[in-house]
Amino acid sequence: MDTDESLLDLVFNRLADDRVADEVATLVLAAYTGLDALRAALAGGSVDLPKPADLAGARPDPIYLDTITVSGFRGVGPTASLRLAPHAGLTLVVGRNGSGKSSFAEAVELALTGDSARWAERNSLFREGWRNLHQGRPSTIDVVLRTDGGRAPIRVTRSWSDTATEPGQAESRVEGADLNAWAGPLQTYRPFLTANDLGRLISSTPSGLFDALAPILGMEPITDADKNLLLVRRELTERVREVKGRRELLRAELAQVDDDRARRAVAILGQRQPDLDALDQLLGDAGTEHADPVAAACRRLVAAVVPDADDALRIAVDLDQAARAVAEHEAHGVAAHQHLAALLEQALAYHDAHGDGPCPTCGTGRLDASWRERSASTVARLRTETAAADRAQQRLNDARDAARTMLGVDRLMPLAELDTAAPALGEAAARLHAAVTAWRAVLPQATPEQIAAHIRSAYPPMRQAYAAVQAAAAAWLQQRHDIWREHAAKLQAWLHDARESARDERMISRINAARDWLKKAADELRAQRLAPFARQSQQIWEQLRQESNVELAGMRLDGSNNRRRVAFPATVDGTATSAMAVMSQGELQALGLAVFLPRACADGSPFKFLILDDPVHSMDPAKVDGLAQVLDGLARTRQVVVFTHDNRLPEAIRRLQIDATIWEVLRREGSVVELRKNLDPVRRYLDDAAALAKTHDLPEQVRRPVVAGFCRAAIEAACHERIRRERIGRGEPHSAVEELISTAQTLTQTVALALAGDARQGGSVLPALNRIGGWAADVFKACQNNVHGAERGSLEWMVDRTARLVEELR
Amino acid sequence: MSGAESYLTAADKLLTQLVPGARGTWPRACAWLIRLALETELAVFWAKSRHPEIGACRSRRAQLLLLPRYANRELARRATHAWAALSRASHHHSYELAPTATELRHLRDEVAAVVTGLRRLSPTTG
Repeated sequence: MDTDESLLDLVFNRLADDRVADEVATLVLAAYTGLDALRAALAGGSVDLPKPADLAGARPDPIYLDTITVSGFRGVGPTASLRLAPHAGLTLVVGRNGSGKSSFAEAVELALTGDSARWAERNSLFREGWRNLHQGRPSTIDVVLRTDGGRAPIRVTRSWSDTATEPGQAESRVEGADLNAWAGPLQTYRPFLTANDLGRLISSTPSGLFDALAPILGMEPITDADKNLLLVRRELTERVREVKGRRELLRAELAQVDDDRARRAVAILGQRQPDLDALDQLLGDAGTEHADPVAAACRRLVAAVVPDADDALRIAVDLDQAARAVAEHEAHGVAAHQHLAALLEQALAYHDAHGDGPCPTCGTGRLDASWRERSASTVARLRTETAAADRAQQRLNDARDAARTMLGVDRLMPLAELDTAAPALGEAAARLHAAVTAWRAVLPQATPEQIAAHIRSAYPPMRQAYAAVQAAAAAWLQQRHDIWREHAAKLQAWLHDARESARDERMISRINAARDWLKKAADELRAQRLAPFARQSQQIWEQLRQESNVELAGMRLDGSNNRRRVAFPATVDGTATSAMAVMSQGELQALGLAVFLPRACADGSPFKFLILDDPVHSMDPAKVDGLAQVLDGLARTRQVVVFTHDNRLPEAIRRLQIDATIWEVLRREGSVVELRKNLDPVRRYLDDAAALAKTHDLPEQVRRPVVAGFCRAAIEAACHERIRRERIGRGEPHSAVEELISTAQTLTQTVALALAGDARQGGSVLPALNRIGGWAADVFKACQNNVHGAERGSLEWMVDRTARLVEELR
Repeated sequence: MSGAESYLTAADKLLTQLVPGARGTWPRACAWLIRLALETELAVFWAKSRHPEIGACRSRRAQLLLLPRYANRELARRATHAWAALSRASHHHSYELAPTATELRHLRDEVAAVVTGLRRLSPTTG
């Protein structure tokens, strides 16, 4: 289907002209190509544009109606056939109401579509009327169609068994075509129009009218592309929504968690546009606590190492013992011994310097060698004793130093962290504070014994209180770790999806951009494609209603989806109004014809036939004339078959000298339907010729050229009829046959084409006519020669013989 | 004012004004006047043509059938159509309503166009 191909070209070129960003243009083209391609494009893949061959759907060949045969169906009892010339031209089927003519129209629709619009919306009581009451068994409809260039006819037969109760229960047989391929075009172009349907359709909902007209524009690939975009956008939006929903869930869950990381996560999730990088950092930092002072304080409290109670007790014991040793030495008068030893050492030095003599201190004793010997041994003994006392003193000094250090042991505990870590520690902190206070309560002048006693009594409780603090801090840290682990995993998963979601949101805005562009382009393309239809509608409308205040040329298909409608701009006495509101029933029908005839006759339709059932219903005479002219115009390129119950349309067609074949349908009792050819172009020319030939009060030389002209026209029409019947019957394309007919410019050439099959065989015409009879050649020459003024035979003779010749030629 | 114009003017008057005594009958009267305008102009046309004898022919159908040859095809088609429509409108048919003002206006304009066309074809005038 080349329209689709050119549609893609149009889209492609417009994308370039509008300088649409590559990423948006890619989406438009991918959506046009299909859903899979669109998904691939969003995933970053490239788009393979559809090949023209993929788009070229099988389109049925142009189709014409040939014969409609009906038996036991609706108003027709015994078998009756309507034979149509399967080529462009106007055929009227005229009959009184109830003559059964509409049965033929409905038979075609039912044969091709399997149903009829006239019944589809009726109740079952009405639907039962499809079977003829007089002779309803068997019920059969049989429609023969011809395709352009198709040798064999297409035959669609639907027959109903005696037990069938619904039209849809028919047994169908189709020869020479695939009816499935017709279903779409039948719906799109609907070559069956009835006045009632038109009135109903034109005054139906705006969207109903839109749906009836939009398919002719062939915009489905674009609306499908938009549907694809919409579908993918819905999926993405759903995903984004789901991630947002989970974010709220997570936030609510984390708000219940007493944890600073949870609180920070809640803050991040609460942002309108959550800072995903911050969240990522938060999750990365989960192992280290520098961000949380409580955790850091706990960590430091746990890490600090303080001496065991045993170590402290040992120091106390040492101190005690050292103090006791010193005390013992003192109790043994170690101080007097030291003085004595010093005195004796000075006396010995004096003796060494001054020799024997009286004692300088007491004056009664004598310093001599024996004294010296005694005193020297006394000094030696005293010195040994005092050295032991000195060592004891030294030991006491050391022990006192150790104890002093021990007294400062509380500085090893990071007590400053206690307040920070308080939330984790509970009462342990207070107990430690109390123990530390007790520990520090030692007087500066305390004796070693007092100090030892203090260490012994105050250190173990403090050590214990600190161990309790450490245990509390460690437990708190462990719990903090456990709480977080579960939430961290959830947050991590959400973070991943949220990053995806951010990507999805960018996709959504790309899709929106693509849709915006597509909508604008589609509106313009639609208007552009509708314009020729609207113009045609306007022409028809002007012919149907001479003083129209409704401008169909401005007809628009607006909007899309739920807001689609068809707009007819109208003015009444210069005031803009809605066309529908101001129209009479007859005008609405005329409007329906104006709008839907172009649809049924669209170039894209494979159906070259058009069936109109009772289009003149409730039409004014002037409109009937207009309609006759409209039908005449359509019939130049279409096979137009009109069923009508009143005589106004055939009359208008006669009066306006429009070429048409008119069948009269007569119905006798018992549903016996007869078809009689009432008028055709050949007959009309002969009628006019005969009327003029009888007008004796006019001079013959005035009438003769005109009568001869009508006779030639009758012969020519008969030849055309024969050429078309034979050649189209052989399967020659309609266009080729029409081309051939138009190459035969003279009557002789036309007759040669009809009789010898070759317009150039002009020389064979007269011999061929002579074979029919001498009179045939005579009347042919009479008609021909009169152009040049030669006169032969009476005008009545000419008309009479022409009528005979025409019968031979047809 | 020639014959055709006076009939058309009279028809216009019926179309646009309330004429005493014409209540209810004006559409058909109007159709008559318009048809008279057409017939008057046809008579003038034939009288000035190479075959004045055609104008004497009583069969209006014959006159109209000859028109394509002696005038032209398009004028003939329009004249034939207007004449047939006016003939039907100017007679009282059972069950057929009188023509509407819109139709009459249209037919009047058609006839005026045919009158102009025929005069343009006549050798001695315009």
